[in-house]
Amino acid sequence: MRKSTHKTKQRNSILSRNAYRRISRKKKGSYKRVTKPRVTRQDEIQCPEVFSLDMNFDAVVSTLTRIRAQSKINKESHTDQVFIHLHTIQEISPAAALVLVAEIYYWVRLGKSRRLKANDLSEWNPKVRKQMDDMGFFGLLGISSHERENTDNKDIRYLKFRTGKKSEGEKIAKLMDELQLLVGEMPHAPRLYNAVTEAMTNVRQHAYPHEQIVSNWWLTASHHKVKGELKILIYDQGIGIPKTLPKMLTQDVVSTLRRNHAGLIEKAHNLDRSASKEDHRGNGLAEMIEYLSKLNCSGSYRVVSLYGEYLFKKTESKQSVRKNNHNVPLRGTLIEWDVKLAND
Amino acid sequence: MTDIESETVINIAKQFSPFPAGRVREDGKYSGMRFREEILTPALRKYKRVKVVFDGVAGLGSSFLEEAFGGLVRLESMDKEFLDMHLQIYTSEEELKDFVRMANYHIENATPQKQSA
Repeated sequence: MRKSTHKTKQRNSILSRNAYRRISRKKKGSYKRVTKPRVTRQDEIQCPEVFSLDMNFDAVVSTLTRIRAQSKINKESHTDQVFIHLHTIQEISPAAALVLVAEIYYWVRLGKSRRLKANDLSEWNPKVRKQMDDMGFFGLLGISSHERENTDNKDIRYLKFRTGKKSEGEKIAKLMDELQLLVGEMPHAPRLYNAVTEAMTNVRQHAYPHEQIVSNWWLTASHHKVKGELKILIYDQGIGIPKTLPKMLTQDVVSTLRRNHAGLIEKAHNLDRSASKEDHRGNGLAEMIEYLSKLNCSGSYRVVSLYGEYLFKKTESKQSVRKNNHNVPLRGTLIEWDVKLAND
Repeated sequence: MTDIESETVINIAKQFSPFPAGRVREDGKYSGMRFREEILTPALRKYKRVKVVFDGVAGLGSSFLEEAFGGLVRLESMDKEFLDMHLQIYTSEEELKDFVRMANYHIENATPQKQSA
């Protein structure tokens, strides 16, 4: 065995002293041995490849419902892990993306113990990743999608979502300013402003009758340059139009339409009153259709709330209404204006 | 007491907000109720003639208009004849002219609410 030199002895002695200090501190409790908590529960949510309310309503809504259910389970637990597999999505519509954003926003608002992190971003479909980044999805999670691939789809532009709780005219005006940069002059802009602010007012007044963690609306827009298609969407996670309306209907109408949410949504648009049952109120929903009616071009206005879907379509020659009830309920109310600007 | 000789002009966009929205104060910062209570009603009580100008607003939703103008009849005890003589609503912008008609419509169709004892 090699004899220790003076330097080695000194070094060892210093190391020993440091080791002694560590042990001392450890004994005093300054150092706690940290081990990763054992995962007691692991859940995985697979998202459908086509994440679109138009083309895959049941699967998308079922996924969103599962995400909401997970956000509520064991809020204080640090040992549960939940994986939401968004990388499986190959195509996502603006409406479905907005509803997903709102669901993730709700999760984030629940607090740090339920913080979501983005894993495996490189596995995402690049177009979906870019679209979600443009819409502000990653900003919600406090990260940026750093992937820089040649995925810039110049045909479609998505505006970042914005959210609020009240009738905030400035936010819709700012959205419209951004749209104007994409599409040029917006026809009947004041009517669009009115339609969206009325939607915000309805959310504030009716959508969340009880105090809750999140009582927001979410707003976004997109423009498809080639198709000349402008979409404006607003969504809330409230109780839904079919549940606010029955207060003002007669009993026989309520019992007839009770399960017919599409019928109730149509009734809400036709009636001259809002849910407050007062003569001077109302016309908010009618005003939302009126924007489309005034335009000298084709388009559609769609409302999805709980089980019901109501679609008002306008072409150059005619107007039509279509309504249907889905198998699964979409939480809250989604309103979408779809305008083909080319001919105005 | 009104000042007999005077008229005043209220430009909503400049003196209230270019982004009016909502009906009651809880709806938002620039609601119809706030406009009526803080600006319009005091002006109508003070001046012989009040001209409200819509130019420059981003829009005027029905909730705002009904509460601001219909509310004068419903809640401020002003009858339609009085408003006919003392209130003028105006805009030079073509796209806002429909809202002038809507504001007058709400005045015409408002019903005074019974005052509680």
